[in-house]
Amino acid sequence: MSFKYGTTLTANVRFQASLAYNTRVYFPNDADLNNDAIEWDQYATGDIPAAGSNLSVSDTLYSREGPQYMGQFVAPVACRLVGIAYSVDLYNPDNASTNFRLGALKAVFSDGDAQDDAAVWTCLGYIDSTTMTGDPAGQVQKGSASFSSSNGDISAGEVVGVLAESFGSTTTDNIANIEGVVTMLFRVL
Amino acid sequence: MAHKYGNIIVCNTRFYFGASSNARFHFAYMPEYSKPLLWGYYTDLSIPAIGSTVVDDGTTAGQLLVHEGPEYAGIIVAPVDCRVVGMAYSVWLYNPEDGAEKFRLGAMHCQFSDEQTRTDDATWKTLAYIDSSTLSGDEAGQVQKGSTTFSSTNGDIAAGELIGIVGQSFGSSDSANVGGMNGVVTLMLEVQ
Repeated sequence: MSFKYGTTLTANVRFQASLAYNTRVYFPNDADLNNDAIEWDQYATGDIPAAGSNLSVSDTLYSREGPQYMGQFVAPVACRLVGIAYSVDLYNPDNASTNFRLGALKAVFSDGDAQDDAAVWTCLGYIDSTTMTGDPAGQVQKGSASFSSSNGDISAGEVVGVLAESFGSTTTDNIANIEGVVTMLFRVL
Repeated sequence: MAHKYGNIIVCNTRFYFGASSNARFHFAYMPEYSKPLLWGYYTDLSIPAIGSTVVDDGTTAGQLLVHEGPEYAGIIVAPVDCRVVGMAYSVWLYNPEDGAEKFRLGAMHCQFSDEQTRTDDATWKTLAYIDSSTLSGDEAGQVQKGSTTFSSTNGDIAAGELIGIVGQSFGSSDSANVGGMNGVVTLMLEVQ
């Protein structure tokens, strides 16, 4: 069955994360975790890459961690990420923290791959928050971005999730506690 | 207000499903539970063919009551008339049992009438399902993915009706099951 080119699909995620290190990317806990299944406590040491590039981490990231932790949406048909939007509460950003980034990444694996294969996560697109200066007070933020690039393409059956990363003047000048909603918009190819 | 035929509605759910018997299908706990994404509820009934229904069989093990749709299994209420036209999944199978063969994810129409008594026996209709790849022997932990599309009136659902997602394991014996699995399932609906 074919679907009309240009039809859009959306996926929404509520989340809470404590972005304690600017050297890490954060993603959700196991769906089975007691009380905190939508908290983003899992992390890997690396940076959200440019759209079309793979996440590079200095620690271990397994293939199972795509469906186990990161995944939020599985493409039912081939589609392209064409938008991201967020609305968040920053409880008390650290002095000299500057911004956060939310990236949509796909976990690339073949059906039946071993669970302990190295993960391949490719960035489809990301959005940066408004830049802050000095010692920002607690605040709410919102934003949206749209894309139109084949870097955002995913095939039917591929899983997509969202990663969060904090930025600041040092690795510990971070965004800290963040709670909110992020929405991904896809277009059928 | 009329909505354009062919517009797409999508919903997703993350889940953990610990298969313990192939004679039952599982669905989610209630939202207030500490593990609302855990499909810890089950009934000793099987997901029927697409377009067919499953009903409470009168036994304790095969109980299925109307409140279990909105309280447990439901993940989307059709805001307009629509049809299930696609399902996709991505999962991690932790350690399938020797003899485990596959799992099935079903989209069920959890039928009831407005203001029906909550403890009435339920009838759930299969709108669509997707089967995983077939396992053989004693397979190691692995990741799996899949997608399928549908185009049948069996997947039709009216505005205000509830769709739940359920999971079932299959194997060479009742205990030869897929075991624990974490993942994501996405349901795609087309406005009618």
